[in-house]
Amino acid sequence: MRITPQLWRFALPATLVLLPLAVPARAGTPADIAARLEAVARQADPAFAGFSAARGASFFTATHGGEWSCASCHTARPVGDGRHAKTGKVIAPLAPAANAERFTSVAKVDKWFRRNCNDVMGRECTAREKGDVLAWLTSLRNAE
Amino acid sequence: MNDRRIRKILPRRAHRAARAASVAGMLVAGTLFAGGTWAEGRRLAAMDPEWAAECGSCHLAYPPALMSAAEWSRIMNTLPRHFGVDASVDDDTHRRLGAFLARHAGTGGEKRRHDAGEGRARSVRVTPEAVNGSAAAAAKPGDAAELPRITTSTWFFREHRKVRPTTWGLPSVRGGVHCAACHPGAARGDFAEDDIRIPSPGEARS
Repeated sequence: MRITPQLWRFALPATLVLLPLAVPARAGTPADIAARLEAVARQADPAFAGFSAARGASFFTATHGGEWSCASCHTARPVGDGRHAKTGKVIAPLAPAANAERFTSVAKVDKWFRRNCNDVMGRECTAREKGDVLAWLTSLRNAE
Repeated sequence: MNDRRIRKILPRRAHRAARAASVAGMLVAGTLFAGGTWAEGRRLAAMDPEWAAECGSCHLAYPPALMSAAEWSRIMNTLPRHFGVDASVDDDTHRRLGAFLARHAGTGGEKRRHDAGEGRARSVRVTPEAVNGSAAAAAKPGDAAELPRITTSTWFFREHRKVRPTTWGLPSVRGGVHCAACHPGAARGDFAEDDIRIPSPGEARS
């Protein structure tokens, strides 16, 4: 096949558009993300003794002095759909057992913890708080 | 596209025809996006995967043509306090979304200023309170009350003047922000007039 200028006119933009699809986005697993949070938590507190699913569960349903809790949108047992407290839009389940996409992208996890902790707590969450919530979420199973 | 290269490929007459066609195409596209005819039921097609993902995770990814570039830039500059919710995005995303909006924004702001009086007079039955509910109309602390809203613009009232005030409060509608309650194709930017489905009062919550 001869590479003509005409061919380049199409091939070049097509390559530029398709290339990012071939490179996987910075992916991970819930365990990778937990390990990352643990490293930060340990650095912040040398006496850190591991994440607690029980602490995560109560953190998730508490309003922390504000109007909302995490459960306001995600429900108290997020293996099913939630609903945005303000807009009513359906939110897919948060527990990895019910939604394999959850906690697989570091960028997404960081973005949503930043936003949602700000809405619920009025501040960012600590690595320990995030890790506790993640430990609880990964402990949830679909059927119960 | 490189003009000189086209000239090499195409005979002169075909080139002239192609140029005329592309000018005509640009005129049609320009009318659709900038001229405000979208409100007459055309598809507000400008969509972008990133726009759909970033803005569509909490609410419908509203078509950029529904507000002016100036209004969108106020929205983009206050994302950490977005109607009482933190909707902040990273700098790269912010820049890309801003460019997308600048390209596809509508003329909402200009229209709003010019015919505000006329619009109000024609749509006496539809008030911001009726459309948005008194609770939503009363800004809560932290809400940027002065943020532009799609549902308070003149064209919005004009386009919805035939909607009964009670319809806005139906559980399956819950105010003017939920486009998809009556426009099933809203998420695709499709607001065609022959595809409007207004729920009846007896209907259960969707």
